[in-house]
Amino acid sequence: MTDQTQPRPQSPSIATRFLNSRYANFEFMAGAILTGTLVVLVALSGVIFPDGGSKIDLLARLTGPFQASGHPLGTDALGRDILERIVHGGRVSLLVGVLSALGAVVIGTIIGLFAGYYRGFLDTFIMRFADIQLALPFILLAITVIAIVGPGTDRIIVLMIISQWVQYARLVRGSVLSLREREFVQAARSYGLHNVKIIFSHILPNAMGPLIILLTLNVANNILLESSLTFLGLGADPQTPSWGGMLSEGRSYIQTAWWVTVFPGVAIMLTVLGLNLLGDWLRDELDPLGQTR
Amino acid sequence: MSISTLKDSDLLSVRDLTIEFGYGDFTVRAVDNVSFDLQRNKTLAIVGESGSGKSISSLAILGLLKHLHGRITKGSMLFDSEVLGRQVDLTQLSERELRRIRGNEIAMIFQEPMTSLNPVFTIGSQMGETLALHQGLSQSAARKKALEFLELVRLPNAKRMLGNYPHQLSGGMRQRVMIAMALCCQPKILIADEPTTALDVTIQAQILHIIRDLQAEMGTSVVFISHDMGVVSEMADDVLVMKASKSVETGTVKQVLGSPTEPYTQALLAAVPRIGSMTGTTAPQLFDIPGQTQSNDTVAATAIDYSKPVLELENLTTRYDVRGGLLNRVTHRVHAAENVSLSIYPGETLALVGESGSGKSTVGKTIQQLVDPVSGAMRYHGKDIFSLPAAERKAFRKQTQYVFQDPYGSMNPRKTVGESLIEPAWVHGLVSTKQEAKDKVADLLVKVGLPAEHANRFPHQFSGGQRQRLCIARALACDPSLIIADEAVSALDVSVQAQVVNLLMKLQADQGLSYLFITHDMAVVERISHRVAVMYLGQIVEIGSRQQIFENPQHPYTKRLLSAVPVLNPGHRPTRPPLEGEIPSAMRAVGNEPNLVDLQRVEEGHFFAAQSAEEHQAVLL
Repeated sequence: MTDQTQPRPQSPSIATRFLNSRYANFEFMAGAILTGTLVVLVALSGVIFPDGGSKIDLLARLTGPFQASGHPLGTDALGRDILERIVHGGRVSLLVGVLSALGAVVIGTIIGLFAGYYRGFLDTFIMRFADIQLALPFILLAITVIAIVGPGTDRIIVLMIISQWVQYARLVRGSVLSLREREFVQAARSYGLHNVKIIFSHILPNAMGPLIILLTLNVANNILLESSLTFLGLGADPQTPSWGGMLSEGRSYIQTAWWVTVFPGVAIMLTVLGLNLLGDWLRDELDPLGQTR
Repeated sequence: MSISTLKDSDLLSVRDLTIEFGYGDFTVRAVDNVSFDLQRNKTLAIVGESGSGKSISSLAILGLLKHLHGRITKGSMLFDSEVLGRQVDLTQLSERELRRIRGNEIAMIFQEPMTSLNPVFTIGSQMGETLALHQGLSQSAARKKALEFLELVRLPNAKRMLGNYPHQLSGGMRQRVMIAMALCCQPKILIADEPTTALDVTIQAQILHIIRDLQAEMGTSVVFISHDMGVVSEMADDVLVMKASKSVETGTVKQVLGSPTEPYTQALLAAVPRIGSMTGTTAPQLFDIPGQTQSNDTVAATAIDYSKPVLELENLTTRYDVRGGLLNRVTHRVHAAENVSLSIYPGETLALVGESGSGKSTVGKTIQQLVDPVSGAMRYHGKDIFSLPAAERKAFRKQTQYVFQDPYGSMNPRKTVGESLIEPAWVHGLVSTKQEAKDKVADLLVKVGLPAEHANRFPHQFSGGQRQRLCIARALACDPSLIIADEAVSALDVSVQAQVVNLLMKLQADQGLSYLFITHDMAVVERISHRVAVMYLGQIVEIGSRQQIFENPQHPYTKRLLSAVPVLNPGHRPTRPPLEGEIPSAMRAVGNEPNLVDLQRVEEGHFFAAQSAEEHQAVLL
């Protein structure tokens, strides 16, 4: 079954080559289109909407969507254009969501790898510390810390990293505990490969699958978390649009003006969906067997 | 389809069975036009190598293919059913009717005793479930009957066993529970799918004995699926040989195993190591593989210099701590290796044999410095390794290389074969440029008989035997002087096993390698080894040349191991008494040290533990 190489057509056209490539796949295409559009919009937000989404027009407050009013997605309670605010709000949301998740994954993975591989006192200490941290409510921690150091997007990112590395550390440690007993790891030890090298070149690549799934889920979660913090007044200042902030502002009008909450909600949903699809695709691509186990 | 009827002597008649998986262009034919008859009160063995379709055929009889998304596209399976009161075609029955037959008239024993019992139910309630379902027994009646059958499979203390959970039992005991469970509804057909493959030889002998006894008592017909020709020759009345989904040869066990007509059966039989086939010879011998010409004696001709050992172990002791209690203190220790002393000479194969838990792998791992010993010394060409500074100890790892049992698990699935093969050489600075590395990989691949251009493939693109060749190639990357092969051929099909063993012997002859060959398989040991050490409960109880151990075994455990190996002698039923007791565990409470055995000389180079022989006589014989 393995010794035959597929006969390839002589000179495939670009279209056939694309169709045969690893990118001709629903998950990749949908994920890439969603995420790509979002990134482009957010990156060019200053060019598309130079007002920064904060132009107040009280006469046009709570205009409904899809009307010929120049506000395709309607306006909020202060008459600010919702589309404009979504595009600008994406900056804060994506920044917080992606940076905090990336920070947490890097720190958590490294700690989890070493704790799981070396076991012993370090492992016990870190994991009990992690338990304590998991028992601490995030919002309480956030309120306390922000009360001391003052609000700001950068502080929120740091706070999220501090509270979320634990999940990654636990997940990775779990995988490492079983991987370190696998024979290829034993084999690497038997021919004298340095432990750090074993951890990064043999164990880490095999522990990536669940990590990528958790990462994409976490980006989504962090976007929502940022919105709760903003709602509590702990996040970005109210002038700066953010998806979470928009959601909480629209909450009071949800019965009369649904569009104020629904469109930012849809933006969050599409972002999360796009990232999850890309994550699934990436996980499958990283698996040389070409299938999930 | 013509409705035919069964012959009176037949219980099950399978005709032109064809089973397919997948759909459209991706259809795989797992069983192709296979026919066989199962006679009343007889045993039909289905043999073949992995992937030949033997397990799928048996699942089809039970109507379990649906769960695997397979389908029967052609054929009939006539079965004389009492529950339904007529002769039925199993392929045509409804799920409801099948459920009445399954477990009741046709029962199955699976290969893996560790996972085929549900861990959250007691033995009693699992057996009771079957009985209540098929025989409508009340709880107390079911319990009584379960007890009766547990006693029938000779489980000690059967009454207490009913309240036990599966994890409290050993593998052999679990398999006996499985047999009791399968038989408790007194089925007409018992399907045993590799029931002893996961067990030690002495336990295997015991299980086979029980199956044979119960078959005679209850008049059950048995479908016995196995890859082990020795087991088949002991168990079967009729044999069906399968290869690549097709039936190759059928007939009585005497015809098929005694005078096979098909070349495939002949090749399969030639590859089976036969214990006792080398009586009278001293040197190892290559397997004969039909179609390959080989000069048989060239390999073993080199004489071994027994003056200076490559590696010497002296009173090596390795224990694993078991912690427990509130303070997580060491409460028990597994005495995996106790006071082990042995020497390995250049160009020699020393086989270390014993059953699971005997500590043979621990010795190998201690030599490879994968685990640290409690005490003892290890000398490499006279140099004490354990007293060296860390850097030099690491350099010593270059001299010994380990080949693991599982060819699927011992290569990183995310690295190409080339990357994996060259890694040891990078570690020890034997290659410095990419080109050198590439040449070295090509060289290694060719050495183990694989094309050099396979370096860019991933491990999953190779078969089990090829992967084991890759592991051997990786072990050769540092030009070691000793290779520790830990059950390196145990997971392979016989024909592949023969090729890999031959490869090992050829490499030994070419490069003067020494092997520590760790295995439980006495038949392979007889082929490959110069000397043999037998381990029992962490200690070496007998050591000597291969001829001395096989032709003049002294310790009862050695005798037990040798007599438990199924012999390929069709029609011959073994007369050995089954092992009654359980082999004790090597785990002991802290402070409760085992008695150290004293090796006594039998003749030049042959030693055995006389005292322990007396102690264990009762358990072992």
